[in-house]
Amino acid sequence: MLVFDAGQDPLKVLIADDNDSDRMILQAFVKKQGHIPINARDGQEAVELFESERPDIVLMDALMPVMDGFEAARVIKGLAGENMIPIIFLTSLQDADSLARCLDVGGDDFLSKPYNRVILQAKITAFNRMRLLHSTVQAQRDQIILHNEHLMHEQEVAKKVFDNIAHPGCLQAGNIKYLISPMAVFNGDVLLAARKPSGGMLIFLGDFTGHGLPAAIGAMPTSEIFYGMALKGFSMQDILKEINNKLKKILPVGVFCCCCMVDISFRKEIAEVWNGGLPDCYMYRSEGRESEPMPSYHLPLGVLGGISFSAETRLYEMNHGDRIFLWSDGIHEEEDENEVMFGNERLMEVFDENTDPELVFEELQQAVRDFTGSTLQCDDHSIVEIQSVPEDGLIENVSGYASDYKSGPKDWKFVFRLGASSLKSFNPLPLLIHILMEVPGLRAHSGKIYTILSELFNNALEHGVMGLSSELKSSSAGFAEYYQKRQENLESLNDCFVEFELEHKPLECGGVLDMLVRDSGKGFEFSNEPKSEVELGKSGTYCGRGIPLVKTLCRSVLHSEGGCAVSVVFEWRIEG
Amino acid sequence: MIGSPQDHVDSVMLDELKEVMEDDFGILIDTFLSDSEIRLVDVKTAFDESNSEKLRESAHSLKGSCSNVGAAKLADICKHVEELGRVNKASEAGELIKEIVEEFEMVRVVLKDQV
Repeated sequence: MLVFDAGQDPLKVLIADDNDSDRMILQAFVKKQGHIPINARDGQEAVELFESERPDIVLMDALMPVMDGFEAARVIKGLAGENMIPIIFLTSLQDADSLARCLDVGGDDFLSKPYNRVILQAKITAFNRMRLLHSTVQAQRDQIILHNEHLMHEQEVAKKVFDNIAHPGCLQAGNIKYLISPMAVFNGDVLLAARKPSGGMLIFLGDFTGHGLPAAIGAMPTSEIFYGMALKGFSMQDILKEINNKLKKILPVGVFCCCCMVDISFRKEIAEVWNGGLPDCYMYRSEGRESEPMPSYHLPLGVLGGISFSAETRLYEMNHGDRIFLWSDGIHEEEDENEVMFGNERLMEVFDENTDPELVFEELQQAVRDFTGSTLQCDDHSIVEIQSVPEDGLIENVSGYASDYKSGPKDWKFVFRLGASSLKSFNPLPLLIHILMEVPGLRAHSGKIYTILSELFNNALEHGVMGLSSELKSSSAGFAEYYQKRQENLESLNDCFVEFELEHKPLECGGVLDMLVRDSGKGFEFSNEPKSEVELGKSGTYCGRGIPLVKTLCRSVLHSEGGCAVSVVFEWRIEG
Repeated sequence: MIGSPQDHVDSVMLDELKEVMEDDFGILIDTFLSDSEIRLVDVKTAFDESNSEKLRESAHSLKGSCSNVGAAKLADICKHVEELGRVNKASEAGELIKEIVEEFEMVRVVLKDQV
């Protein structure tokens, strides 16, 4: 930091005047003020002395032989570059044209003849003050540039780390459209999407308070938890709880994450939504073109600790062709030239006026562009559209993790038995998947394995342990009753178990996974004879037990122990 | 008509110059006088050649240095000559140049007296 000091150090003052007596007078004035005069007799000499002596201020006669003052001033200003070298023209010229010419070539002021000592000294003092201020500003500007470069570098590093954690997931899937700035993480916006092992899709749009690095910090653990847990088949509620706990623990008070998370089951055509602090998100139905708000009914993530946090979600029917729109508040806060905000009503108008749901995403952007009346930078808002589509053909996660682990457990066996109290509150699937994924190369099959284990576990728990009849699920009223009974039974479980017996044996290019699930229920009548799909569908005992699906995925499916045990063989090959 | 020194040179300005120049005051006066003689020759030559541009420039230059030593009346006559040069009437400057020569002699006397 420069110390602002006007007039303590002597200045070098270049005096360029062809008239000897005039120059002598100026020289005396300058000396009297304590400065150092440097004398030049013409413009050429002035330029040469400027280069060798680097004076602080120049007093320049306009009319001189060899090179006149105008030309010399122009050259000197050029040599000075961005340093401020005040040039005071010495002139008895009175006409406006001449004075304007002095200014045009870079002159800063005039001193007319006869010279007045007091005025000259006041001008030197004033210009010196300005010169010092200029160099202070210059030094600070250079410092700011340096700081800014440093900041940009830090952001680039942070961005790289963030991108490594927040790999694209399944954002490239054909049913997702989104608009988010590449540096959005520094506006506090985070968009994450992952396929679930069971086939569905999880989408997370978060908006952290603040800007810059403080806003980006929370994004890192959030995306790590999201992708890590989604991959292992954890439920949306579990993921939300985990993120909330983490953010509550690491973020300072006042920093939190407004977010909306959606779990879409394409097979069941259902969307489960949790909105905490984001503006109303919308379900836009292709049939009837209705839009239904999905308002926030929770506090943002990172505010409530432990048990006060609720991961309760809302269920929405979501038929194929229906669309969900999520947005951070940036879009509502876009302003027109009169600083009026875009707001929710204008968003609704876009839905009202839409005739082709395929275009609504583009129409939303156009509406904001028209409103702001400028070429929108899209820097401050994020918007996502997710369409419900048939599950086939949707891309899997694009993982940022290397999957070519050479080492890991390949030949092993374990038994995992859950008793009543575990069954009441614990979902064993993520844990099992986690262990299975340690097998080198098996990760590529996680979706299939998850589906198999989840079907076998649910059969064992619901039909085996609880004895619920799957026939209930054949009507939609029965479906609700079924889940109610399931909930009641779960709470009153006593003296029961579900047991997993898993064994893996390596093959040359893959392996064989034997999975046996045993329950403490009464068993059921079964036949291991192969039956056609149609017959399986008709048979009451098999209906709804997901066995046909499992059969398509496994080499063999065998019931035993009076229907209390089922064992399947899953054979897999290394992909790619 | 010689009149008082004050009519030709501003005594207040001279006193100030003396104070600032200290020991160099005498050199300043000598420099001024010899400089002005050269410029006066330039003025006369310009007139003889009827060169308006050169007349304007030389009169302008003389005017500047005269004013700086307090020779206000001399500077004023120079200004009129400079003006004639500007409007391209060098040939009409004869009378005024005579006045300059006369006034310069007065100034010389007054200044020499100060040293």
